[in-house]
Amino acid sequence: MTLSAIRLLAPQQSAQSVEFFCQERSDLLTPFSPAALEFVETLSRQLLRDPAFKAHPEMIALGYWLRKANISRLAEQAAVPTAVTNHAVRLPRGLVFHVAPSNVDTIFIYSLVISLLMGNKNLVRLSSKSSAQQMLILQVLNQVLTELPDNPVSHSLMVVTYPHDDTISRQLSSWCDARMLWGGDNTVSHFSSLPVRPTAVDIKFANKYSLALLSVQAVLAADDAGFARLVRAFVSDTYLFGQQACSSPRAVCWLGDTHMVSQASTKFWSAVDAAVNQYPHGLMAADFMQKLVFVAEHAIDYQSVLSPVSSDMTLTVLNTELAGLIETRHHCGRGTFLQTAVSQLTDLNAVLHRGVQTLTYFGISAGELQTWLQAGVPGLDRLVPVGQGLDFDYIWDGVDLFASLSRFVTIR
Amino acid sequence: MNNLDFFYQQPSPYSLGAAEKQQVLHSHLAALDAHHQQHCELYRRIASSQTAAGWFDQQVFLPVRLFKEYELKSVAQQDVFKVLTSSGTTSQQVSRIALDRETAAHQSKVLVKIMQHYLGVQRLPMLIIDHPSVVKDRLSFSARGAGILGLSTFGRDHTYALDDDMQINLERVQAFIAKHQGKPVFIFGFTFMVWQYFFQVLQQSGQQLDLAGSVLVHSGGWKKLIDIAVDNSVFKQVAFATCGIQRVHNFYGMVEQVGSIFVECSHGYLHAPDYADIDIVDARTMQKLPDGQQGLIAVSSVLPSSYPGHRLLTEDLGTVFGEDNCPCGLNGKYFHVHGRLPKAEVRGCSDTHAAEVKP
Ligand SMILES: [Zn+2]
Repeated sequence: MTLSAIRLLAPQQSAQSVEFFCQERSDLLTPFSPAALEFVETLSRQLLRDPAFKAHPEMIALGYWLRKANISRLAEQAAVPTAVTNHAVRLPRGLVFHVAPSNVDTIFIYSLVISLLMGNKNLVRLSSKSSAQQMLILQVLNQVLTELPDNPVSHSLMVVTYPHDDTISRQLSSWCDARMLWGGDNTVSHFSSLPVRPTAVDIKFANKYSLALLSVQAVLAADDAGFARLVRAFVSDTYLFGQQACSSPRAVCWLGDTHMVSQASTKFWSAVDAAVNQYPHGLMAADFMQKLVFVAEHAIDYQSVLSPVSSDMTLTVLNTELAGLIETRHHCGRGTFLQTAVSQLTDLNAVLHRGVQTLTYFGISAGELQTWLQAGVPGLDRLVPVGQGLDFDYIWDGVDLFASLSRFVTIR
Repeated sequence: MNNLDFFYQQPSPYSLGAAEKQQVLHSHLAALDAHHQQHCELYRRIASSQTAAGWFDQQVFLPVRLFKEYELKSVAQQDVFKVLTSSGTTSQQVSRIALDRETAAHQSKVLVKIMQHYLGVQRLPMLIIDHPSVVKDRLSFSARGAGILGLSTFGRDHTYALDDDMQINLERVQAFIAKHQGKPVFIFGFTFMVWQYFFQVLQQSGQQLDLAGSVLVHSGGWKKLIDIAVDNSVFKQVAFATCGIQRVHNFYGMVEQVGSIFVECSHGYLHAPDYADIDIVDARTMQKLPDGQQGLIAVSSVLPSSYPGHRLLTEDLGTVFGEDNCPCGLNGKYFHVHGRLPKAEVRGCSDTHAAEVKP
């Protein structure tokens, strides 16, 4: 047993050992307990108040998402219908073991919060590779833990790190009641091979691919203000994490009159090109080199051709056939878009698969999209207007996190 | 079909002035563009894409990394005479360069032309700063082994300075020196090996060797040395202090463009020979930069006809200082290499644990 290699990151000190923490279950809370609500509210306040987070839009967005009003709205959405509550009681699962992605994407914080709102205890494993964003997350969590020493949630959360070690991962996995796996396909598959107890559940969030769907007519017809909003929204969906978040669109599909596509596309990309050059995207020479390699790889695989719409490598648009639109093997993000056009929604079915997560849309009615989905599509987890690509939803990758991180006890 | 007679007829590999070189080299490279478009479908696809964006003055430069991922060749399989592979630890992919007889012959011939410029036409006694087994196992040939064998043709009485345990065999080295006393000798090794296992050891033990009058040629990159704060001038000072070596020529080359190497002149600049050229590229705009500015090194060579490696974009950073006006008197662009492009930060939910899950 090498549990001594585990380093506690938050709280900074604890009277409990990791082993005791993981095995004790008497301290579970109930769903939406006042203690959890207070904890989340305090976390939100810290994120929005501390000037350290001002420069990190993703931390600010998290802060807003955690505000009391939003949590109340979520609680309503997640509320169990009376027909069920009459004969069922919702309780937490127990200990939830969160494996965060190595380059901390704040996204795992959302699922952590949902988990603690449901009353679970939470053990979070961060990558042993420290990053600026990881430091920020720990900083804010420790602030909250210090501020709320008597809140029971403060004693049911542990954030740890340890060097890659299957013995430890195996032990922690064997203690938990639910395991949340964030990360690349390899991490998720690797952790999946370490058993959890038979009564525990695994919730896996592996690599996903996202795309944007733009209406040709709507883009051409948009008034100046509406068009500017679209462009801003598209840029923040795609350049915020260097286009490497799973929900950042990596492809753009035009829907509508094929004769008008090039006109709409030119209008759109010229504006995006101007916008990204004002955006703090942080792309550097090595990123551009990656893109150059991808341009060649995609040309080899799909005979795609660079579009001349961009003024430099900050924006890269590749015109491709539909078959080359969803490229999950080499796509390097960093402001790279595969572009094609379809004349009807169902044309997309040919390339969608379970690895495709988010479709951000513009100028297409919800009714049209509903009709398309109801006839059955082979992929997609969520459809949101352009600009909401990176927003978190309690239903993620098709999984209702409130439901997955709690259990029903029925009583007849 | 790749006729290089015009280049071979020049009195030295640094003969062509800018105007003439621009014209001759340009038309030759343009002919290679067309040749590879016609004979390598993968190259044609990349070229169609790049050309549409108007990069590099409409020229097509392949990122060198592609040779690690794809078999890019412009000859039929039965004409492949040998396949060069780059170094690389087991975890890295290696470049695979397909040579036909013609390209291989040009590579050897051009290397001879360039090396003879520095070493003379007579084969010199050769001291190799490495251990002999590096070239023994021809099946698992390292790039170091290949480099040593390639350069060995310019020397005679090949003597390895190190034993297999990387210790200097002083007895053997002293015997070599004594045997060739007063005559010029040719010393070759990889930059890091020469520094770590030869100069440093001599310096620390206070040993002096009399290798005055010899020519040291070394290559292989400065990355490991820059990490320990050793640059070209320190390297040369120690070469002189420990061995009395005054003529030191680093060279810049890569497995993707063997033959037309860039050798350091007497004034410490790497020079483009007539057969090759160098451009500095801004990664953001994919356009060539003016002299004096640092950027990615793009290399062109008239040699590769069996594989589309005549114009390549490397991941090395460099600066060109001028053309035809280096104080050493040689023609051609002259430049410095600053090292590798720093790695990009990996973000988001991509497969970043990959390295971690390996047992
Ligand atoms: Zn010079």
